[in-house]
Amino acid sequence: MRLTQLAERVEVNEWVLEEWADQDIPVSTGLVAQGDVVFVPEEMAAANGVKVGGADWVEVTERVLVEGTHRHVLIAEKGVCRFSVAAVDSVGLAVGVIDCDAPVFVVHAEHGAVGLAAGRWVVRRTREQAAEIRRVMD
Amino acid sequence: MTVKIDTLTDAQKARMASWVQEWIERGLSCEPADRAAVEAGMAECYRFAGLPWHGRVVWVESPLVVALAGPIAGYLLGGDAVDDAVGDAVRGAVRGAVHGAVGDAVGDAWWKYLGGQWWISWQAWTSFFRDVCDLELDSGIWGRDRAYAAAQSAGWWWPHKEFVIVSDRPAEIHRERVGPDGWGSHRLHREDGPAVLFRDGWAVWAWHGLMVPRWVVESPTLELIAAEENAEIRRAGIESFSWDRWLKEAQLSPVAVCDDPGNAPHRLELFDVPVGLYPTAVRLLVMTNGSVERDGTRRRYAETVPAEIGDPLTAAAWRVGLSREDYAAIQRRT
Repeated sequence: MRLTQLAERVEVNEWVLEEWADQDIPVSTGLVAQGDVVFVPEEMAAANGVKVGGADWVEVTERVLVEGTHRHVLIAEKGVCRFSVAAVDSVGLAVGVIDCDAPVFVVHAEHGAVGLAAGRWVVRRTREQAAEIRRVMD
Repeated sequence: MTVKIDTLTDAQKARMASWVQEWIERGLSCEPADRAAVEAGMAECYRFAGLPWHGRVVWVESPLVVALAGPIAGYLLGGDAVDDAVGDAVRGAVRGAVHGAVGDAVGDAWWKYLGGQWWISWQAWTSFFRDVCDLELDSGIWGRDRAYAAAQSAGWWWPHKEFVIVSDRPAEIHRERVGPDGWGSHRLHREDGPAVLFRDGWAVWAWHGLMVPRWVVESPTLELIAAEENAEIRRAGIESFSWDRWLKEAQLSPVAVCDDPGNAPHRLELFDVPVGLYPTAVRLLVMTNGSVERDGTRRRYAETVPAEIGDPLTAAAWRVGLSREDYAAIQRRT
């Protein structure tokens, strides 16, 4: 998959598109980060305080995972991907779980795209130590 | 006769989200108010309240003028509190104007005003039942509601027996999204100017929802930050100044440095923050963005982590709630 193909569905900055023009989007099989969001394989997430509920799955082909100045948007072929918000996170960073049978992609205007291999992924935000711990949005 | 509504139909439920959105847009409108329509609504409100309509509406460009001029005018003109009203809002506000006028301070007079479009939630709620659910109420109620909605279609206003003083809408409102649609989805924030700007130039500056003095947003300096006594405003000042710039100007050396896994050839750096500068004990993790900026450079940025963390990789792992070992296996960071 090329970023130009996905940019038809999600707006991506021009200079980011140029940088990515000649390459396929790498499909990750392990932990990967996109700006202020990380995609954690289910097993690793489980070892780090996340319980996946396994309920409320919805079929998705396009879904905003995290809002911010720019959105992180999940793009999947029809019929290969489900999403659930049923994740209980001991540190409160999980926003949901992606369950896919084939690679799916997450697109961001500034950060380009990441590919996620078939499997289950916990989507987690990042945090900062401020007066109160707060989640980061870019 | 009033017919009770027990449940919403599917069509009514489906309309709810877009209805909310439309009213939020009205509430945040920065267009100059339709003054004739607003004044007609006010006149109706007075009529419903059984008050003679004086026809004197003073439009001003910002709520600051309302706050200052309202009590002064009320004091000079005198007059009793006006009785009976469309609702508590109008009556309370009219009374408030009078009480405020004889109060000790301008600030005390603020507590009874009408919120204009800032109180739009009431109109959104009632009109949903009126226009979407076709709720029938006893005669006259919807007329009052419409009049109140029209009167509330600008900024804050202050109904008095002798006059109304009303602030026009702001010229600009800047917010950031911090959550999904619904309560708390946005807060005021702007990094290069006022978050709310009125047409007479009066403005409000906000940093991630915190009201701050102008310098925090537009001209932060190390001296101003150090002199600020309020810890939250000092924090906002540092963030606005940017940790990155602070690190450069303070010429500090990192406590520890390591490779940034998933983002070669960049490095992760950890810095100490002087005690007392920030409201919480923190260290700074300095990272390089995984993706390029418009000018081809990669942005260096700093985020705060707990002060007890001693190495940069553990700090990077803490950001996403993972163990150091698991984070070290990261494949990519864009």
